[in-house]
Amino acid sequence: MSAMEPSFEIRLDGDRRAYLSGETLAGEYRLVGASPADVRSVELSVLWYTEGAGDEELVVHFFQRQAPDHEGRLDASRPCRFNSVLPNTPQSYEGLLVKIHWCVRARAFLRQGKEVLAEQAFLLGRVPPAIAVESP
Amino acid sequence: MSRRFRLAGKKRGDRQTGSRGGGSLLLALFFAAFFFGGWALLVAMAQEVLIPQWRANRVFLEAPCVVRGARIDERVSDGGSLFRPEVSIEYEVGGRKYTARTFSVAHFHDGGYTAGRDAKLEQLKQFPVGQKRVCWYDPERPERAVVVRGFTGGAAPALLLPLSFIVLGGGGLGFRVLNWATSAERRATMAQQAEYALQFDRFDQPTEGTEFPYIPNDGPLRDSPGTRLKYRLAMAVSSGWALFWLTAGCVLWTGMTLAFLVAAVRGFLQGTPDWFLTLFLAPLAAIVYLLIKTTVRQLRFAGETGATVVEISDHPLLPDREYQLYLAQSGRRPVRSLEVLLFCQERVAYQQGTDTRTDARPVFQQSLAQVVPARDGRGPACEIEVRFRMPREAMHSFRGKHNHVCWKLVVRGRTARGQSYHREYPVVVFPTFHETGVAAGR
Repeated sequence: MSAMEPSFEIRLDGDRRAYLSGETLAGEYRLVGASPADVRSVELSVLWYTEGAGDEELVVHFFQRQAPDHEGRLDASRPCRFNSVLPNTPQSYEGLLVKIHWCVRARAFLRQGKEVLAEQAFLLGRVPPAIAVESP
Repeated sequence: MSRRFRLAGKKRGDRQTGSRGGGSLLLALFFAAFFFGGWALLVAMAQEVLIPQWRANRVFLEAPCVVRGARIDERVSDGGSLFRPEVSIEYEVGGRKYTARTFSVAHFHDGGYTAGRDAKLEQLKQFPVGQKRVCWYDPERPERAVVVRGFTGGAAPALLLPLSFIVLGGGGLGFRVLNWATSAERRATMAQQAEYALQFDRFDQPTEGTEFPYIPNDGPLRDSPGTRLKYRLAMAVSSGWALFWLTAGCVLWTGMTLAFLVAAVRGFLQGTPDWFLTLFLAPLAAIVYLLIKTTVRQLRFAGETGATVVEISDHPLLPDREYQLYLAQSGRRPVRSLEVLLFCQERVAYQQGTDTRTDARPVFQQSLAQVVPARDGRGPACEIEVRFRMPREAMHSFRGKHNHVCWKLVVRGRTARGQSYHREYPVVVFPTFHETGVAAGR
């Protein structure tokens, strides 16, 4: 039987998936299945990125990084809390050419160059999906 | 294997379909080649030029010598003949006699050839045969001596080449090494901090770091007060400039064609017709005809339609709010029809290879007013005053680096002659503020 692959658990308070401008996004995350000696660093970001026909843009709203202690160990299996006041804009948007996605992204760098990545998407604002219309 | 580790892949914008690790490795190797190549070149130049020159100036010892001969040494290369002065000397070191054919340290590595024979002859005049002079010899190898010392002027600029290789290669290599195990989020954070530190209050920049980041700055749109309503909106692209360039191009082309025409007619009058020039004139004349026709039509059209004034009761626009709009269409002739639309469009830009391509797609359109005006002969050809409400859940204006959501008022008209025109007035829409969200603060 093979050892369990390391993975992240990200939980947003109240299991919310939608927020309004100026609200606080809070939650916790932890890395399971990785020995503290194997973890080089853990990062958590609250960010938005675009998707669609245009070149992708990625903007980090909140960034947190954990580094190993003086013994070179980083115990990321204990839940770590985060919170961030969300900005007014840009709001989540499901357009035809442009899509704006918000998410909480956790990333761990392990020894031997391995990476573990996990995302928890959420909505900012209440903009409905766009529909196509004719040009004037 | 090839799917897991692709060194090269199609590139579209920042998305690379090949192996990211492989690409980074190749770039690191590329910069490393520049960096270490620069150092190798610098060491070679130091060994061949800089160190010998420095030793000749600082380490070589002075000794009396007798000039036994002087000549110009010539070398023929692809670019022509190259020359260097050469002096045969006799000198004595430690009781032992030496003879050498030399001039400067460049002789030690068979160099010193440059163009210009006369300049070398001038240099050799200082070394008449039989004259006693001084030379400088290498104490470690007394058979090597020079009769001229100093640093050549070409050494310093030549250093720029290896130094630029070292700086560019080292910078690129350092950047790749620093980013080797850095996440996209961390890189973006660092880039944002650097960008924010350098950001000035510019209208064309996203308003990052403000209360409403990534919404276009609406300051310029509120600069112009209206006569009926609070703000007068500016047209997106002025048709006046397009007309100016068209007219300027027409005048320039016509003038050039006339100059050719005069030359051709003169040839016929003098009995030496230039048939090639005459044939060449035919397509030029056709282009002149088309340009004049288009320019006259556009000038007449501009005179007929006149300016379109659009004023609005408030700005920026907010969803689910009501606004008043005033439109005045001037011009010598009445317009046949006029329509004002509220319009939203997504615009994107993307890199495809070395090209930057753009695409646009409308996502909202609402006709605010449509009229068939009747002109009374005085005042503007047409005036419209209308109230409209912004959609309740409209997406706010958005300006990223490559992706935009743009709102605008569009005026569509048709002249009495049946020609249609289209004018756009950008507006900025701010987001919805729900009960738990923050207030607009404007």
